[in-house]
Amino acid sequence: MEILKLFGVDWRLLLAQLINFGIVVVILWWLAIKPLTRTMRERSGEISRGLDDAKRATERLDEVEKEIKEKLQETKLVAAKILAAGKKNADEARQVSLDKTKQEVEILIVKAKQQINSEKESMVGQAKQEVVAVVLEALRKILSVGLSKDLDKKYIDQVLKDIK
Amino acid sequence: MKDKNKIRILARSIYGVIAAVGSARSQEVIANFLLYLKKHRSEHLIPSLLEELELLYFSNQGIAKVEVSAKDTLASETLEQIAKIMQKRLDKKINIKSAVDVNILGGLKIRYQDKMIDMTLDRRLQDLSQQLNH
Repeated sequence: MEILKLFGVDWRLLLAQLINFGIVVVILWWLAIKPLTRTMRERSGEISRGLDDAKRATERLDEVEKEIKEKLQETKLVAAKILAAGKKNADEARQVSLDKTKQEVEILIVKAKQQINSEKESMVGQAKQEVVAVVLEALRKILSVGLSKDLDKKYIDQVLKDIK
Repeated sequence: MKDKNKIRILARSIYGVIAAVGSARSQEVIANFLLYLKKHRSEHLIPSLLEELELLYFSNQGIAKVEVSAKDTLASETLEQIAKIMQKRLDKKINIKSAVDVNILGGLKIRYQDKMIDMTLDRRLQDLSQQLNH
């Protein structure tokens, strides 16, 4: 007490101030610190959840990227298979087309040969007919002029012997 | 065709009548028949009627009519030879007639009973042409 007096402190005032201070502390605690602490705790929880979410999202993103990579790989394989199958089909179709064209060309060649032979035979036949007609006409003219009565009689005698 | 049938019927009728009345009245029958033809304006049928009557006569008498065509007139011995051949072939008496056909190159044609034996050079040339063209 002496010391307090020495330093000019009134203990009653000090007590009152302490009580006031206590009241202020209680009020501050009740009205500010407690809600602030609660808000901070809630915020901290949200941040923690946000971080967890972000972590999960990152993990999910990694998984998705991995899946995408796998899908891409699968897609590449499928595309390669499709391309290979398409190439095979195209090769087969080209081969079929080539075979068909070859057959058509062979048929055309055979037909052309037949037509050429036919035309050749027709021309030869026509020429033959013309030659025969000319020869027979010449023969007819020679006979009409040159066949004497005696020769005609000999011919008639001969044919009469034949029909006996 | 109509005329041909008419000729055949008329020929058979007149032939039958003449055969029935005998030779004594045949001239009268023929005269009446000619008058009938004149009345019906059928004189143009007379040549065909004569041919038909001749055929009827030959048919009834067992005679075959043979016509021979050649480029020139055929010798009598040739005609006799043909007559013998045809008599042997048809087993009938032969009445042979020859005719000249200037269109024939050589050889001869024999016609009988709607048939023909073609032994002309024309025919030989045709056969030759067919053989050469096939």
